[in-house]
Amino acid sequence: MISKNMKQLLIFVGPQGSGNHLWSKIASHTPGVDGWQQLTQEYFVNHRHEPFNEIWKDPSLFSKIDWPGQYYMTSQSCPMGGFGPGSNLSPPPKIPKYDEFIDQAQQAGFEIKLAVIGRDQNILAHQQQRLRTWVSTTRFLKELDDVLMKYDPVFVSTEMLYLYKGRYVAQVSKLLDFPLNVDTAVLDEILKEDQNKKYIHAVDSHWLDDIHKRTQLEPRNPEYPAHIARQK
Amino acid sequence: MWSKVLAHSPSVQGWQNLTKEYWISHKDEPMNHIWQDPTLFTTTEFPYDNYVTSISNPYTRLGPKEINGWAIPRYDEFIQNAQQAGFNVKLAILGRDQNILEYQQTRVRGKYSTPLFLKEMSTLMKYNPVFLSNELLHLYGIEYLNQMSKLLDFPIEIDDATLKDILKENANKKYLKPVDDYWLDEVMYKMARDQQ
Repeated sequence: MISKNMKQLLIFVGPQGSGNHLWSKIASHTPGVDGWQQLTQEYFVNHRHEPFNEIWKDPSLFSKIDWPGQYYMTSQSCPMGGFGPGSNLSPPPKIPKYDEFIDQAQQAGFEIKLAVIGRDQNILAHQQQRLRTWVSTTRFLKELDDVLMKYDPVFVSTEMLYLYKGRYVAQVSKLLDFPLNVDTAVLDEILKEDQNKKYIHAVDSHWLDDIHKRTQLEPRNPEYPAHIARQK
Repeated sequence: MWSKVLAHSPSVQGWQNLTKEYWISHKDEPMNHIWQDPTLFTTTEFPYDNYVTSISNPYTRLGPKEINGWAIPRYDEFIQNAQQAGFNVKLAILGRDQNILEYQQTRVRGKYSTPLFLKEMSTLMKYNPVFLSNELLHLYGIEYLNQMSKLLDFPIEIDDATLKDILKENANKKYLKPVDDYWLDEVMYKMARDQQ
């Protein structure tokens, strides 16, 4: 039974490089949310300084800590860590203990809100290959199917955030029923460097371009829309 | 792409020809004539329960030489006439990486037109739209679609194999290139080394 006064914990999850830091920064700028406040002061902070990092390692800590606030936020990509050349040769990828973490949070009185972050799959592949030396999105997708979908997550898009900004944040907040409210100037500052831009280049032509142009000049099909509606 | 996905839903009347052809000009979209004259809603019979239509903003005016004022859809008039004809209108706002939009619009339309769409957002927001992401559809597939169907309270019943077939051409891919290095990489490596 979920009480309206229950403490809430928002968890951002996603493939490595999907935007955990970006979304954490936005949540942490929201008044009343206990998140990763250090990210509001610094551009980048290593994930081991994420406030829940120790609890991700040992979720039983939930029951040993006082939680005086109402809204909390954490994030955890999947897999975790594994930077730099040769990281694909290191021990098997570390998979977050999502079930255990969420179970312990619930036992400590939290209502869980789960947000699954996504970003262009090609960019994820390029970035993971460069930073981690292997493409790890598939590992996240397995975890999504096996573990995360049962928590009724809300999907959130990093591209939609850059395109629709505050309006998109407002919708995500509504869907999660969790406060996400950043001052417009602060949000503009956070989003001023488009992290996708460096991966994207112009395309001189595409096979569909000529068809676009040719068909535009042709007359409309007079039979439309007879198959779906008819004149009274 | 979204019209194609919805047209594959058995209980949705949409752009069914897109289920047979890869691409069709938007002038042959089934409700195109109603977008031109929304009063046609009242003189047309709609025997089915669920319909889908789509229109970009701006529309038409194709090619770098043909820019002669952009056509802005008459959203309010279209939606009000639909409501008067008995429709419960569900609005979905599509989005895609803003850099790709800029490159594609400049190449195909001769001008970056996203700002014109963003200008119309205040008109659209009053209809309580749901945002739909192309990138999320490609990444999360049927699970993402199921959530969007629930949010819109509108049937999206495409089977997984058909969806995968539609998505097999990854339309963003041609715009993407690897990046050799980025200033933050070294910072991250160093932090990781320090951690060990």
